[in-house]
Amino acid sequence: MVSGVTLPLQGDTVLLPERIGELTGLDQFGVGGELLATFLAAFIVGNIMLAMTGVAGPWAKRKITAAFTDRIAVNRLGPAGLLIIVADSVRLLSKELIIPEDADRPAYDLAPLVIASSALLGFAVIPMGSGIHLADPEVGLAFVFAVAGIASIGLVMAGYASANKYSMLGGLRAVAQNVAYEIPLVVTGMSVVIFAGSLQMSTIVDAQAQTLVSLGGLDIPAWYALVNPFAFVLFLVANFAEVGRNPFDTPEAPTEIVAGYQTEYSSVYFVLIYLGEFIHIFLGGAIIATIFLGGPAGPGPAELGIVWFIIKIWGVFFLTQWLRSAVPRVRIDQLIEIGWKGLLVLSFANLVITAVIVGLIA
Amino acid sequence: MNDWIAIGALALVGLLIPLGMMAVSYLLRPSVPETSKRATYESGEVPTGGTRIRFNIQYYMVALLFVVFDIETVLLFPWAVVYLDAVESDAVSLLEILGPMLLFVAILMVGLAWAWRTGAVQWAQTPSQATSGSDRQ
Repeated sequence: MVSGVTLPLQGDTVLLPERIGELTGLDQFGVGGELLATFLAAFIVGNIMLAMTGVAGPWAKRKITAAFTDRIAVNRLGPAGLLIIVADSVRLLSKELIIPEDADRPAYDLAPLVIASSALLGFAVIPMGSGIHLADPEVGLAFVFAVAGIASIGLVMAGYASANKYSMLGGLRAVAQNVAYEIPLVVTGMSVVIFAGSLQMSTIVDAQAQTLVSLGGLDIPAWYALVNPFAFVLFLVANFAEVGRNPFDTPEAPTEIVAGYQTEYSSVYFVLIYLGEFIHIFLGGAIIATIFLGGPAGPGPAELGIVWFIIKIWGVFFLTQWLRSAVPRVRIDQLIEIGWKGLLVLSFANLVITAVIVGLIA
Repeated sequence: MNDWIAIGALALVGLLIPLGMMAVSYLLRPSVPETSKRATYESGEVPTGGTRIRFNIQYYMVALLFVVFDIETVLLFPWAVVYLDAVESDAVSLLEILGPMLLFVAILMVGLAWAWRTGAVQWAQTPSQATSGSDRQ
């Protein structure tokens, strides 16, 4: 069993800023050099996510949907149509910016910024493997939940400031949804904290490296998705609602309210909201990978960590796209009831049962 | 280097990337002002009425419940962190570490049951729907 294992002490992992400081020799230049190395590390992490979103948004999403609906998607530019990423970026950024007449200006302009940057900030504490881990505070998991919650404010700002009725409805729906699913998400995450005994991301990942069972010489790691599959499923569902993906994409429901809170956004503002949503899907995937799927763990040498990590979060992304093609959208009143009467009760039951079982076994 | 400085650095990068994209877009995009181009989008119709009206947001009670449960999760986090250590040490018995939390969750569950019975955790019906008996289908 996972409990009863001595966990590594805090601070024995080498984080990315220190690594870069050593590699570039910047750590010899005192505080200024260290700050520069930290900034470089943050820049690398930010751009990894930007690149992944670039591949996911204009290319992978279209390819996956096309495969599900028996069509051929983007295949004209470059190998497998990959150069559409460049073409689409230029196209979207060079669109005219049309701001609605009654828009509430500072809020209207700030909303895309809030949505895009808050999602990016969550990746600061995610261990991506191969030494790509920016920061490892002791409150890691609480931090990432807190940061992921900031996006709701951006959605309300976008919905209200657009002065559009569809945007308003979309913004209100987004809050109702985030309010209903935040608690099940955090409480299910807490049942993992009971196993690991820490909120620190590196400790949670290390705790999952133990062997759960050996099947014919093959060691099955104690990933929390295998230790507690019920919590894993709960967390997946709550996460899809939290990032507003099918079957819980009611805030932007294109067949009901045009595009919800992003109806009035064009040009670079639209790109930023879209980007923020994709980074949010990946942040959700990163949290799932870290606390349920062993983080960057996988067969082969530890240097392959980033590959396994990317495979895992793309697995979650693929699942969102699969559900998008396969599952109908729930109605807003169903959504509220699923959250408060279903997931909330189940997540507390999971927490209590987990605590009792861990208590009896230890 | 301190963890929080690294997080601050990523916050800075997270602001600089969108701002950079805005700057690039500012240099690239055209500006062709036309009459009614900036009108609010209402499926192609001429917009009627304003948006900032009094509006039944349907989930006032749910939002209040959220505050209660959110504070509860904050209070449960420290318990979840120390739980494993406390169970493994012989200083406290299982009942001592598990009991208070169970009581705490039970009180909140009673609250949720009350909210459930009074219909607070469902999408509110408009008065016309409630009287005509056409419930949420």
